[in-house]
Amino acid sequence: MSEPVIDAVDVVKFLGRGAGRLQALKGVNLSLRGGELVLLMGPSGSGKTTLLSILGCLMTPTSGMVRVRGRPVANLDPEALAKIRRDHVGFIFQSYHLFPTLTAEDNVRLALDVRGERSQSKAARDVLGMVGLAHKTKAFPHELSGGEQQRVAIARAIVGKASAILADEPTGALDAQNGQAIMTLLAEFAKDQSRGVLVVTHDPRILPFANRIVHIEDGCIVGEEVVREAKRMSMS
Amino acid sequence: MTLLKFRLAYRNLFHDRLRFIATIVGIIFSIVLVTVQMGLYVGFRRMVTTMIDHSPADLWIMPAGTKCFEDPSLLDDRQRFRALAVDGVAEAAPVVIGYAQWRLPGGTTTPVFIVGSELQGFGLRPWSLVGGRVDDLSVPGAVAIDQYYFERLGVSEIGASAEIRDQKVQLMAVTKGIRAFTTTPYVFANVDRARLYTGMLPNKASYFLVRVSPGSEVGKVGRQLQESLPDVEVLTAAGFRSRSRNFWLFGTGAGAALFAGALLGFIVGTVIVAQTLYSSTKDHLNEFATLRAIGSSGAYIYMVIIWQALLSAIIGFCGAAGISSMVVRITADTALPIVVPPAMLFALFLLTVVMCVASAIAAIVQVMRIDPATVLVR
Ligand SMILES: Nc1ncnc2c1ncn2[C@@H]1O[C@H](COP(=O)(O)OP(=O)(O)OP(=O)(O)O)[C@@H](O)[C@H]1O
Ligand SMILES: [Mg+2]
Repeated sequence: MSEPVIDAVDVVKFLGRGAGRLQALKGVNLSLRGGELVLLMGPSGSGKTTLLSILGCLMTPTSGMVRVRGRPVANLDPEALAKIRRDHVGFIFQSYHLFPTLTAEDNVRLALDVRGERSQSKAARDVLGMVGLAHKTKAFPHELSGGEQQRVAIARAIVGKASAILADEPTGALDAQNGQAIMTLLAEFAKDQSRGVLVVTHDPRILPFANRIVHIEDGCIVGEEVVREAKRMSMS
Repeated sequence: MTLLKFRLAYRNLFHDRLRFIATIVGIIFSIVLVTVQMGLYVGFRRMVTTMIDHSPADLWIMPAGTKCFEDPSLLDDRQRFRALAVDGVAEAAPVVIGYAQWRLPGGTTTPVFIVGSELQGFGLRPWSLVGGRVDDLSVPGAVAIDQYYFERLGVSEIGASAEIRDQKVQLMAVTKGIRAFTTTPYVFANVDRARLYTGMLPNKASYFLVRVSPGSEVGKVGRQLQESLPDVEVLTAAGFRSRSRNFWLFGTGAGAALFAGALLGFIVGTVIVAQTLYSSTKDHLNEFATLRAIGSSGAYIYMVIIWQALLSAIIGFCGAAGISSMVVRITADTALPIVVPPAMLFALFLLTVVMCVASAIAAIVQVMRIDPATVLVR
């Protein structure tokens, strides 16, 4: 089996302050490996987004540890965490979070620009081609459908060759057909052994795309199913 | 390939047109205000020393405590002779100043300020002549005035006459651009006539202009003069200049008022730009959080904001420079012209940039507080 790109060890997270303080994660162990698409499922409020944020180094755990490509991420300041994110993590959000004043191409370029990379336009157009938007590179977000916007967001997440793609309900705002298209793309990108994809979802229609399904409830992982066992066995 | 940071910055800036216009107008007003105040200061500063600047004197002898060129003062010829006896003094020429009434044939009077000097050799004579010659002033009763005061003095051409202290005077030379900030017109005349016009005795003078003989050191001669003339004051031209400036600009509070006005303009501008940048950043906070989430460094985001500030500065400054140059042109022929030398223009540009970048601080502090995790819950 390929190396974990990100793994969480005994992660505990408290959120909020005072009376509102609660334990959103109660000792979670999870690893995301290259070449797999993992679904993280659970009821609302179970801690999915919190876990995704910690895996993606948007937050640090109260206790426990996160390793990115085997290296522990601990005691880092916000700048160092940002560096880990730009080097290793690609995010896809339910509400896309594209820049309304920039074209599709520039939105994708931005992910390279923050890394200080040159010759971005060609790379951005190539990736937009991969998500089927070769003809919309100059379009602004408001000129794109929801599905198209999410594809731009996917292009932005993968253009930097991140080892982990973390998506929080990427199909939540899309209809069935568009949701299907997005998941097909993500499943496709997850085949790359250097990249792992973790998708948080409520949507049972997504199940067929997963290599592994992790169930979370009330801050604890309560079950894990491995699908397409045969395929995973053959890879190890 | 354009700089993406820059593109993001100007799109952010132009996104909300109304706010953008408000920002630019704020910058323009603030910088024009600063320019006018500082330009007045420079104009005033130049004007208060114009007589000293145009006199050939190395040293000025004046009664102790003289505050400025226009300060009425009285010296005696004996002092002049004592001065001439000092080693290194080549010449000591009398200058007579004083207020007088200019009376037109019709009977109306206007106060004028007489400046009398020797017309041959060493002296303080009118300059920038556009009509007549300095030599023409040796005719008894001949005077020179600036064309700017034609209307006020009721004369408009060479040969026109009027009266000062019951003496007939005749306009024999015309200057251009010699204006008094006190708004009392200068009237140049021969020194003897000037004594008549100001009611001064023939053996008196207001100043003695000293020329130091070649090879003598001005400072040293000045000290020796001061020693042999303990009851007067001996100043170098530079010393008299700075004393006049200090008196008019700071003794009267005029300079302080101009600086206070400039400072106020700067503060108002900073507050306006800071406010609009802050609210613009607030509107785009979600985008900045997204930038942070996808791993941008703090510096990257600050640069976007600073680009916004710099762009505002450049656009605002161009507008302000345009308006200011109009103001400069309009006031060029007034009693107090606004003067903007190139160095000041450059300083104003730097000031605009400093103002805008300083304004970015509030926005940057706000962005520093962004928690990138918020993008997942929105
Ligand atoms: N900033 C916060 N302060 C306090 N409590 C919080 C905060 N953010 C989230 N929580 C709580 O932590 C728990 C886990 O939240 P989380 O967002 O991870 O749930 P989720 O599984 O993503 O839910 P959903 O499916 O509705 O998105 C919830 O009970 C939530 O109310
Ligand atoms: Mg959630």
